Amino acid sequence: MKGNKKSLGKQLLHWLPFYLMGLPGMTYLFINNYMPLAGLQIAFKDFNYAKGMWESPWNGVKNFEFLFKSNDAFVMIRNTLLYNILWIFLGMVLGVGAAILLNEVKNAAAKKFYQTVILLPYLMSMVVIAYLVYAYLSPTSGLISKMIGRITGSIPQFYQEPKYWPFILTFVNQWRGIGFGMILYLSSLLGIDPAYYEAASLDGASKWQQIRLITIPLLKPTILMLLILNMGQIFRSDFGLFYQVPMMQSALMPATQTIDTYVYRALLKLNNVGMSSAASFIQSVVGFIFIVVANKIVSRLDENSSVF
Amino acid sequence: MKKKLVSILTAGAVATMTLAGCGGSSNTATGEEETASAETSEGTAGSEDSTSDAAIDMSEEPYEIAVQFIGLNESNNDLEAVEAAINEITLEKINATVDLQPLFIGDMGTTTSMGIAGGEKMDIVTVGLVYAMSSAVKDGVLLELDDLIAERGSAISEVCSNVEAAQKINGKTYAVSGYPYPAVSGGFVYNKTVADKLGLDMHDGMTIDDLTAVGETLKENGMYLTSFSNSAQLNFKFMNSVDVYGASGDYGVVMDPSNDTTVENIFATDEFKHYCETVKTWFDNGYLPEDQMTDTTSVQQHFANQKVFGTSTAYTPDQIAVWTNPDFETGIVSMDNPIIQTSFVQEMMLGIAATSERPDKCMDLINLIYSDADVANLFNYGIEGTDYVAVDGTDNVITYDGTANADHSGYYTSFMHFGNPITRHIVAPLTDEYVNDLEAFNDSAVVSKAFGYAFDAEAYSTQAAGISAVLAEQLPLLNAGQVEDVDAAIEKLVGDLQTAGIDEVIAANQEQLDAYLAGN
Repeated sequence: MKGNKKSLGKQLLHWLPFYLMGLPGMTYLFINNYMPLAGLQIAFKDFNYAKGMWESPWNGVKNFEFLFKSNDAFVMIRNTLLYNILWIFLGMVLGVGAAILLNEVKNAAAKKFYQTVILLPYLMSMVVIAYLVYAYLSPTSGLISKMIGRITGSIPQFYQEPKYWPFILTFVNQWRGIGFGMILYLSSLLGIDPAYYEAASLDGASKWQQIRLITIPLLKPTILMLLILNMGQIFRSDFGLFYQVPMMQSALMPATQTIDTYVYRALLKLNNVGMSSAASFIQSVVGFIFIVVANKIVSRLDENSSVF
Repeated sequence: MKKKLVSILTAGAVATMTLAGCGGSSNTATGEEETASAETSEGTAGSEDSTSDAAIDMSEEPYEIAVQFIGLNESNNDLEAVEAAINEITLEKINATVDLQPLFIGDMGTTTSMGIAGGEKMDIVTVGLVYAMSSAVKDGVLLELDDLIAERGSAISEVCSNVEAAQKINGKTYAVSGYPYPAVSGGFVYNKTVADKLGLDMHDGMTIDDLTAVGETLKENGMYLTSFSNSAQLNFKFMNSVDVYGASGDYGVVMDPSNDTTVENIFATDEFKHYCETVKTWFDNGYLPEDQMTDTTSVQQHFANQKVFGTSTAYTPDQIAVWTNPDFETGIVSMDNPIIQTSFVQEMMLGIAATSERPDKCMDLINLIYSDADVANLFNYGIEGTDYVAVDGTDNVITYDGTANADHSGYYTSFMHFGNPITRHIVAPLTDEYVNDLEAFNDSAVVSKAFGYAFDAEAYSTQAAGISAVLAEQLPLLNAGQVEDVDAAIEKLVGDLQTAGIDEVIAANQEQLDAYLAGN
C-alpha cells in the first residue's frame, strides 16, 4: 500500500507540469463558457438593466412567444433548417473533395497558392461579399444580369424574385466557407501514411480506387466528428449572409428569412434583452438535441467514431 | 471532446452572458446606490425646499459632472478647450465641472443601459433619438426630476412650460426637452433652380397628387421626382398631421389629432391606400429610380447631386438650412398644417442617470444650460472665434465658414440642441428673423388632443416584436410603390399585422389614451 501511495504521489508529480500548462486554458474555458451559463435565466425574465440579472422578475415563457406568434414562424424555421442541412452535407462533400484534390498537388508552392486563394473569401466581411454579389447581379450594372439580358432579352430581377436565392445563397456560402471547411480534412490527409498508397499502386489500384478505398475510410472519423459538431449549429444561421447579401430586400424574405434575421427585424426597435436571449436559448437547446441524436446514430453505426 | 462540445453549445449563451456578467456582479452595489441617491434627493428636497434655486454650496470640492455628448464619431479636436471654457463658467456659478463624453448615436441605448447596470459613473444622459425616453424609463435609467426641477430648475420650467406634459411618463417628469418649440409640419424640399427653369408650380399646401404632375414634367426633362430607398419606416412626412404611436404606427395612429382621439390602424385607412397607389403611379411612370430599393446612397446625396428633384421632409422654420447646397437654390413647401405632438417634444432630451451621485449638481447644470445663453452656446457650437464666428451685421447669427471648424473637425454635433432656442445663436443661412418665425410657427400650430400622452407598450412586447417584423418585411415595397397590386399587398399586410396582434395593441392604446384624457 505504501509503495502504491508513493507511486501515486510520483505520478501526480509527473503530471503536475502538464496540469499547470492546462490551467490557463481551463480557467479561460471556465470564465468564458461555464460562468455565463447562469445568464440563461435571462430568457425567462423581464430583464431590467437597473435591477440586473438576479433581481429582475420572472415572466415565464412570455419572452418566447414572439417567435411563434407570427405568420413567419414556419418560413423562418423551415429556411434555417433546410439551408443548414443542405450546407452541412454539401460542405462535407465539397470540403473533402477540395482537400483530396489539393492534396494531390505535388508542387509545394502551387499548393500553398491554391490553398490561400481558396481560403481568401473566408476572411472577407459579409458586407464586402454583399457588394461583390451586387456587382454581378445588380439590375442596372450587374455583369451576370447584363449578360443574361443580352442573351434572353429580359434582365432577371434578382433582387425582387426569391426563387433565385436558394441557389445564390448556397453558392456564396460554399464559395466562402470551403477554404476553411477543408483545413481539418487536409491536415488529416497529411497524417495518412504514404505507404498505403505505395502498396496500392504496386497492386495496380487506380487513383479513384485509392481515394475510395484508402482516403475516404481513413478520413471517416474526421468527417463524422465534424458532422456531429456541425449539428449543434443547425438552428442558427449566418446573419451577415442572410441579411447583408440579399441587400436587406424584403421581397426576398420567403427565401432569406431565418430565425436570426427575424429576431433582428422584430427586436431592432424594442431592444429587448429577454426576448433575444429566449431566441438564443431555443437555438442552443435545439442544437444540443441535434448533437446528442446525431452522436447516438453515429455510435450505433460505428462505435469508434462517435464523439462521446 | 466533451468540453469542446459544451463550449459549442454554450457559445450562443456567451454573448448574453457578457451582459449578464456585468449586471450580476455589480447589481447589488447599483441597487444600493440607487436607493442611496433616492434618499439623498429626498433628503435635499426636505431640507432645502425653502431656499429654492440658491442652494449651491460653494465651499465643497467641485463635483465633476459626466455629460454624454452624442455625435457621429466626429473628431472633436477642440473638445477639451470647450470643456475648459464651460468649466470656467460652471465653477463660478454652480461649483461644478463638466466632463463631455463623446458617444456614437447608434450606441446610445446599449451604452447608457449597460453603464447603469455596470455601475459606471453617469450623470447627465441624452434620451430620445434612437433611445426613446419610454425605453430609458423602463430600463430604469432615468431619475424622476419633478422635485429637482421645482427646487433648482426655474429656467427649465420657464423655457419648457409649453411642453411639460410631454416630458412626463405616468405623471412624473423624467427628462428635459431640447425642443421647447416643437411644432412640425410636413413639407417637400426641392431644387428651386430646376423648378424655376421648368416653370413648375410649387406652393405651400400642395398635395401628393399635385406632385404627380410635377413628376411627369420632370420625367420629360430627365430628372427623378424623388427616391424612397429601402426604408422600413413609413413615409409619414406625407401624412404628417397624424399622431403616430411606435416608429411606423406600430401601435396605431390618431388620424386627425386636433379634433379626434380615436386610435386606428393606419395601414387599413383610405389615406394609406391612397398614398400607396400614388407612389405606385410614380414608380410605374418612371418618376422614381428603378434601383431605389438596392441603392444605398442617401436621398440627401441624390438631392445634392441633382439626381432627384426633391424629397419629403419635416417642415420647420429652420429645416431649409439642412438642405442648402452651393450648386443650386433650394426651396421648401409646406404640405400640411403645423401640429404639436408628444413625439416631437421627445425627439431629444436631457435626463439624469438613476445612479448619479449628485443629481442636484446635474440639475444645476441643466438649468444653467437653459438660463445662460453663453453656456448653451458653448455646448451647442463650441468657442466663438475658434469653432465659429459671428456673421457681420446680425445680432445672433453665426457661421462655421472661414473657421478651422468649417469641416466640423473642431467641435460639432447635430444632436446637442439644448437650451433656450430664443436666446441661443442661430447658424446661417437662418437670419435673426428666425426667432420670430419660430414663435409664429408654433403659435399657428394646433396642439394634438393627445399631447402629453405616450403609449406604454411594456405589456405588449410580444405583439410589438411581431408587428415590427411584419412591417420590416412588407412596408418597404409598399412605401416605395413597388408592389404588383396595392389592394392585395395591403390586404396581406393588414392580415399579418392582425395575426401579430395589432388589434389588441390598438385597443390597449385606446384604453390608455381614454384614461389619460379622463385624468386631465
